[in-house]
Amino acid sequence: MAREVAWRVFAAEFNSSSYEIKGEGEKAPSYLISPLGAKINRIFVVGVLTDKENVGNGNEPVWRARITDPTGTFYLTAGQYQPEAAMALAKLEPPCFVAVVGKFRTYSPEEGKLYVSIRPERIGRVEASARDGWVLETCKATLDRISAMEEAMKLGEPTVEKLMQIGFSQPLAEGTVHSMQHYHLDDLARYKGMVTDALKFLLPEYQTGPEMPVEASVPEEVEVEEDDVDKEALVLSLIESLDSGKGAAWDEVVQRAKAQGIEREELDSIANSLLDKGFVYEPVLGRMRKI
Amino acid sequence: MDREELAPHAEELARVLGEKVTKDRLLDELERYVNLYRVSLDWAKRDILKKMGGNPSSIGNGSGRKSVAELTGAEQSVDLLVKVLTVNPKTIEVGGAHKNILYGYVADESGRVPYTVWETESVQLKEGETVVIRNAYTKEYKGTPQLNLGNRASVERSDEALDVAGMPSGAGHGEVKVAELAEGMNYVVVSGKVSKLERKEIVAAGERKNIVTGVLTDDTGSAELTIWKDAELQEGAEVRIVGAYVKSWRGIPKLNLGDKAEVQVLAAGTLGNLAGAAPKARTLLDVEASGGGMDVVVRGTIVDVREGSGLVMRCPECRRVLQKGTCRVHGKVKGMDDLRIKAILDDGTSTMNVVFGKELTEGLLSMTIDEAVRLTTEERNPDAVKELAEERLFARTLEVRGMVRSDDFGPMMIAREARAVEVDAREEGAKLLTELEGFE
Repeated sequence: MAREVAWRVFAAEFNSSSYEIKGEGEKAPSYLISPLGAKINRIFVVGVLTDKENVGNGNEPVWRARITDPTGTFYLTAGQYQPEAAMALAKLEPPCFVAVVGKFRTYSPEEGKLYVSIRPERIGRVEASARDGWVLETCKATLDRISAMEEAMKLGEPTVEKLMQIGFSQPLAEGTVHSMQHYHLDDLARYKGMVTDALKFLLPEYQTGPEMPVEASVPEEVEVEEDDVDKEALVLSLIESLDSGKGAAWDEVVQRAKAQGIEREELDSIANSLLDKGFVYEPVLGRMRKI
Repeated sequence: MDREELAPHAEELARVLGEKVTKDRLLDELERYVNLYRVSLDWAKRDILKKMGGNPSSIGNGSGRKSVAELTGAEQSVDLLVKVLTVNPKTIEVGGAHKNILYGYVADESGRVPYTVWETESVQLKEGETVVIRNAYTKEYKGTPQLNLGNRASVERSDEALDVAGMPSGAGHGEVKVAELAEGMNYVVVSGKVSKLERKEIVAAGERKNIVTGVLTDDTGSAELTIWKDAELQEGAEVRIVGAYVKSWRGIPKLNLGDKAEVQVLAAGTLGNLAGAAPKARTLLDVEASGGGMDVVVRGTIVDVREGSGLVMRCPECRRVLQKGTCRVHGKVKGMDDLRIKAILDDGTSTMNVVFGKELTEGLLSMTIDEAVRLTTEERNPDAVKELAEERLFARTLEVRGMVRSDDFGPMMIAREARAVEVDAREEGAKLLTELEGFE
């Protein structure tokens, strides 16, 4: 039996999937058909591990985790049947960049509703460059699926053979035909926009994080954002300057921020934003470090 | 362009227009169009013909006559002498209206190409006919040229003999690259450099016979070839093989040249510098489809490091990996240390097993085999090196080169080279974004 390929799919597309083809027979694989026709059994994701929680107990841990990409959040669950992934998750401290290979899982609380998550087979820490590489690769893969959907829509009644004649691979042709039958998408603009946004995420000139130079010309109507960016940059530099190797003590950050006119409540939201964007992390409770 | 360069084009125009206009007058016109108004030569010729009352489509402008193999997918106007292999009518919807088109394949001695006729009123094609197609244009789709016959195109039946006999309708594969060779192909046309030539004597059906074996290399890879007759070939010669068939052995496609096949020797340097050049990277789906190859380059992400990776003990007699200090053949022996990684590579199109030997493993892990032995001893963990490999290699993107074979579990590569792929995501992302926004 050939191994199932790991699809590159963004969280927004993955989470919008609501069509599962259950394998019949003992070893037949099941597939999740995404709106753009990815025929997913296995998936490969690189993103920021933002949160993890043991919902089991000390002897039988069951880890739940969240991984974000530029389009949304992947939900992971690893228990006793994924010992390697569960052990790796236990050791990882969010936030950090991680790569995950896993299989899809579905949960249907009521008829017509389907929630999807990932059951990780492997998870490991990676560099920021690996995340950027994944985003680019996933943009390309998504564009391939979009072009298959466009061709399928032109055909009216697409078949796997016709799509393969045009030049699409068999797995993509099959997924596209399944998707046409289930989702009846008539507008791909949302997904094209998703790819464009993900590409912009890679480019510094579109980033509204602290990396943006202050002197960059910002139109007046987004002045508020510029203000936020300045404050984020300020807090980030505070964290960096108070860090003598183990991370900046949170109490000191609070005091120094107050001296600069940033109140506790605002500071909390700035810190959360920095954590979400992956600019800082908490090495231990009460300390914060720049990544 | 000076008058000397324009002269042959003026002559071409004169031929079309007959006695109506003098050659000098045409040359003056051409000079004015091309040098003064900077109109492209092709359009200048068409415009002048039209002005002088000639038929602009009676000259092939620009690309001129080409063979199928020469098509690039960028011809704006091209003439071909081809045999029509297949004709299929189809109705499509354009802007709410129904429109009839024809599609199929045409071929000449050099290969075949898919075509579409967009104006069925003015262009009719019949299967089996040899025709001259004028003023067709080509587009590239998924890397291969597609021939289009639009409203400017014309078709004339031709009595010229065209030998596509070895290329039965719909079954010949035409011009291919080495990487595209796959089990069961027949009548392939493929060019490359021959090496490792050997003349062998075999006994077939009770008769002694000389055959020649060797390796053919192009910019996409290498394949073994067998010429089933005696042939004079120079080591390192650049050749074009016409009419070979492909059989695979353990997943690796091999070229066979039977009685019908022909070897054309090309001028040295025709194919560019192939020595030492690594073949182009292929997708894993593509490698899976062809079954394998002698020299394959792929890019992918390591999604798993398999059992059996890390430090292993081998039998000093037969190099088999020992299980608990015991060789399957030679029993209890004193094993030799060896280092290897068995990994699964995945590029989003398919997957492949890759085996890295000792040197590549040392490079990938940045540790020598002695250091690996020390680590295993110090940690008292036989899997210490495998665990390290998982940590260092998981999710890494590599470009690997090696030999690929296939079995029931899919393709497997014995890697010869491996390197980390550095992608400039910002630069490539910016490029892609520009392309996308350009379409909107």
